[in-house]
Amino acid sequence: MDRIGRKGITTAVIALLASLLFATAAHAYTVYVTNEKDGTVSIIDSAKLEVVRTVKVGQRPRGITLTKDHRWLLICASDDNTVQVFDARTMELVKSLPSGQDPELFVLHPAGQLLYIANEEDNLVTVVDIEKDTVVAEIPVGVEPEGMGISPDGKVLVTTSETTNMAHFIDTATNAPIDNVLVDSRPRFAEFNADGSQVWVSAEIGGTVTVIDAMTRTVTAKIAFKIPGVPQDAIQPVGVRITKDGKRAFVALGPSNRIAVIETATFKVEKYLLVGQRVWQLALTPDEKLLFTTNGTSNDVSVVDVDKLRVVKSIKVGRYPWGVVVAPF
Amino acid sequence: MGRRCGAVLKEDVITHSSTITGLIAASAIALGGAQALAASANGADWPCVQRRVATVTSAQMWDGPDVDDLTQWRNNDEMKKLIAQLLSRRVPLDQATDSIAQFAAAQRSDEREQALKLLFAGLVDTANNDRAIVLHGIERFQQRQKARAAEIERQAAQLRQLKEQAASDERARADLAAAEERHQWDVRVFTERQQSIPLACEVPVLIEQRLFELGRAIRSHMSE
Repeated sequence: MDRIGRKGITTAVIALLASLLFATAAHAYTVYVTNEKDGTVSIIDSAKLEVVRTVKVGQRPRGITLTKDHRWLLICASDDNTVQVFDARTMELVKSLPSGQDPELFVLHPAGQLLYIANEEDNLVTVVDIEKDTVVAEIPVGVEPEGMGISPDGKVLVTTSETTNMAHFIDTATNAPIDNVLVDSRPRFAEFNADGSQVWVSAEIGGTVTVIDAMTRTVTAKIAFKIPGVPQDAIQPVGVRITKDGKRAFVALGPSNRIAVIETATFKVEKYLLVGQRVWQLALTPDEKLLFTTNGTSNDVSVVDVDKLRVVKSIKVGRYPWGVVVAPF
Repeated sequence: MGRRCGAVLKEDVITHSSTITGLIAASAIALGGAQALAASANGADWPCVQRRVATVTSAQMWDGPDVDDLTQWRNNDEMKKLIAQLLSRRVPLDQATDSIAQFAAAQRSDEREQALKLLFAGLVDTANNDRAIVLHGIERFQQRQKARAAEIERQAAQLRQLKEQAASDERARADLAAAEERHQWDVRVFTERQQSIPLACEVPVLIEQRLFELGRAIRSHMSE
């Protein structure tokens, strides 16, 4: 091979590597995982797929979310009875919000200012203004509220009640109940699809996901799960995520150690993917190319390639990883 | 196997030099403990927050083929030895995964898949036996705690009676001192053992964690 030819190939290789690097950099997001037992947050770089930082937070951190402007990271420090606010980039503690007793899960209003927090022991939803640090309202709901979902227009809040097995629909303008829908045993999580037409409610003991028509508040479908060789009582649906186009849903199935991939047009399970032990919560990257799952017993996070529907990596984090959220930076 | 669970469930020796808490406070703890026991047991002798799962299946632990009915590993002494070594929590996980890699590499390529399946079948079966011993141990432990709680309640009733008698009866006063000491002792034993229950409840989880990791390692050497 002559010198020019070799040089040409070298240039091409460098250009290719540069483009690959650029492509990787363009898709780098920050993934935050709460570790319930360690009282820490593991921060994962979505391009490197490794933990880049571990930060000490309050006791028993569980629910986690980002503010709409991505400035703050909000964490339910359950055993400290507070919601901690961290600067999402520096991870400095900005402040602690009043939260009511034992906050576990919460949901932020789409307008970005009001945070709805489930207080399991007090049978309340506490509404907190995260800018003014004040409790705006306390809404009495069913026994042991747990799952929290809010419609994309912010008008309807859905809380699930572990003991009465109901999804409660609440008008956020008046904080008054609109309706209750019976679901299966121990509902854990409520998730609206992007166009707000459906609410998906998972039932941990019932082993199902109930899809509710958000307008009529009637049951559209009930999704059951069956995995050959896995005892039925190990299939415990918890976290639910639906893609922005509304075509595909992912459901974490607890100690079956799998997630279910569901085609939303038919409500059929396309595939079960083995992730880690006691898979609990899920989060998609903003481009929806990767899905992160927290695996509470194997102390890791699984990374799923959404196009290929394959688990591409398992990343060790702290003990009892619980919640997960992805920032677009 | 028995040794592994025995280490966690061993009842600690309590020395007299330990601080003895006040009688009333101790009784309150004992009675509170008894109520907690009754509430959590739900008619069974299972004290753990974790749900009681009798056995785990291979399908829960990996996405490879179902190996629950494979038993030929029992006839292979070398494999049985490897299984015991892999499951022992004294062996660091890295070392265990290295051993799996060596085992896979040592197999003829046309036999590797089957050998790895047999290895995992043996691991699942043995881990289930380990778990069963632990579950049984936890339940026996709980039964003894229940018996202690009942005895503490009986002593508390006796103490109340002795206190009334002690006002006028010299001998009752002497009996009261001995009974109080005995009661304090039993409350202390009960309380300390109660504190070790969450630790014991973690043991089945630890076995499952290791089995899952071993399954992952074996799968990485399989093409199926």
